[in-house]
Amino acid sequence: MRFVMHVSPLSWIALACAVVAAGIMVYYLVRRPPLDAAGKTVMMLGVGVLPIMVAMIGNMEGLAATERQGFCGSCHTMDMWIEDANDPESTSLAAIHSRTHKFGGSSCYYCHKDYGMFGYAMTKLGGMGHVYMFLSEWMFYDRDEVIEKIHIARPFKNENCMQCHSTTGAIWSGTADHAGLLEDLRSGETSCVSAGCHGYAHPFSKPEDETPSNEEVHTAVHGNPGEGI
Amino acid sequence: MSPKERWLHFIDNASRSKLMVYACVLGLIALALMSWSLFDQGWIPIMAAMSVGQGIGTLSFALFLVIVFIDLRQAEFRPSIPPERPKRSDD
Repeated sequence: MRFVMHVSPLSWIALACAVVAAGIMVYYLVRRPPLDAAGKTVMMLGVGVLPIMVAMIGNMEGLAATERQGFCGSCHTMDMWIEDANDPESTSLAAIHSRTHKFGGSSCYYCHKDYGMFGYAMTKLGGMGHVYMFLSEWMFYDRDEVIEKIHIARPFKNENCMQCHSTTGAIWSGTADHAGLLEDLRSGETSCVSAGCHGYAHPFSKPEDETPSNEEVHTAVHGNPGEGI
Repeated sequence: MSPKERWLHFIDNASRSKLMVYACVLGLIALALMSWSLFDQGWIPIMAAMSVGQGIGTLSFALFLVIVFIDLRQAEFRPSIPPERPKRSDD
């Protein structure tokens, strides 16, 4: 566990509500004013309205926070994935995608989330599964055990890549391999990543002989090795 | 004693000020947990706030509602419409 700080203006409003509510409750505990109509109205604010506002803002901010890299990286088991994703020298798919301005800070969530109708809820349910596994098993792993024993639950879906790479753009379609494999890629028959052309998104976590070098990846993508990606 | 009778016995004998003290203590714990998650957005504070924190906060508010319920049970309601004047009997 580590301290992850991201304070928005809404959080400050929630904190102000919490301070006022706490002040009302502490005042009651110290002074014990009568619980007449006026007293109950004030206590309604202190015990009801203001804490409910704190809870509502807390829910909004909390759910938004669960999409950020910092949240995923708050378990030590994710350290290596986050380090690679934020390494400016890394050419892994994860690192390249984490450098985009659009969603770089939430790259874990944007690449791994479920894009179905109930995707948000399903993604959060999956996250609860991770919490259970972390508390029951993973939290005792060191870095070597993490690499060896923790794997993605199911193969990465091409659908997730296709949320951004729609497979209809001219540049994308202009690549011969894309055009030739169009139906297979759309149906998921051929994976974009892993054993597919673009290699593993987190290559450091895979055996070296299964991981293409930067040159091989570059050749597969651009057909022109040596220029970097 | 049935659950309903037990509930009514509790309502008739509970101390409102004591209930409010419990509500305040629970409310302060809930606020502390929920406020923590606003500034430290790791998985422990966020999950603690959205489960334990909100559960304790709900309990605190429920205790306040019990106090209101007790007051309503003990209140004497006066009709807001004055009773009609007795009609004069026809002479």
